[in-house]
Amino acid sequence: MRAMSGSWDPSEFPRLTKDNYGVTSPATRRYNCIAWAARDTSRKWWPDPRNIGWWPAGVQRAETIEAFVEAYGTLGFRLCYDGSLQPGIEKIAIFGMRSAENEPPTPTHAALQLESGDWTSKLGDFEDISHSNVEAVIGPVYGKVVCYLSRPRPHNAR
Amino acid sequence: MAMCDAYQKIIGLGPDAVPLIIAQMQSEADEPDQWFWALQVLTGVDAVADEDRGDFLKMSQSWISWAENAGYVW
Repeated sequence: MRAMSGSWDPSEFPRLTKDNYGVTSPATRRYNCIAWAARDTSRKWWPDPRNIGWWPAGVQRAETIEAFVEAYGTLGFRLCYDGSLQPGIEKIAIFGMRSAENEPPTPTHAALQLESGDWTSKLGDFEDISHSNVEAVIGPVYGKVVCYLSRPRPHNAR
Repeated sequence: MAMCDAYQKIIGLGPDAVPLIIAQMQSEADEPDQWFWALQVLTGVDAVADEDRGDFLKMSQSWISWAENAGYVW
């Protein structure tokens, strides 16, 4: 995988190296990482308290891992054990960070597994990238993977 | 973004900031930034339809229309 440098601050993603990611589309503010993992490039998904982000109807509007699992659940995703590549299965990794050791993690990011086994992430308002392992975007901004979700891979999905 | 100092200072300007924000949002054309929180706080209005939430371009257009109808000049 050949890296073309993105416009983000490299210190925010210290595990991205020239060998483990590639930029796949230009920077845009049209959608965010949560929408990107849901294959929606028309809007930003986020359950903010002021109803600014889009959020699936009927799903609790809360910045919790449970709410994010429920949101992707509206697309058929269910909790699964890990991010291993399974033929015919599409997976999402939800990332989170804890504000204190005894606090539950707050969702920060989601990445989608491609058919190749690589992962794809939208980095904030910056570019979309594909990365060879899910841990490549772990760091001070996204924290670490909290859980994985899976569903049957759609027939037309890459 | 809404919690950063600069954003809070803009809100701190009060209702006089509304036309400035609308003008800025209009100048951002196809990729408006996240001004909606400030506009909600400053006007007490939510100008966006439920189906447009998260689509910043449509949200921006809704706010510009709202400001025109409310008599703002920028």
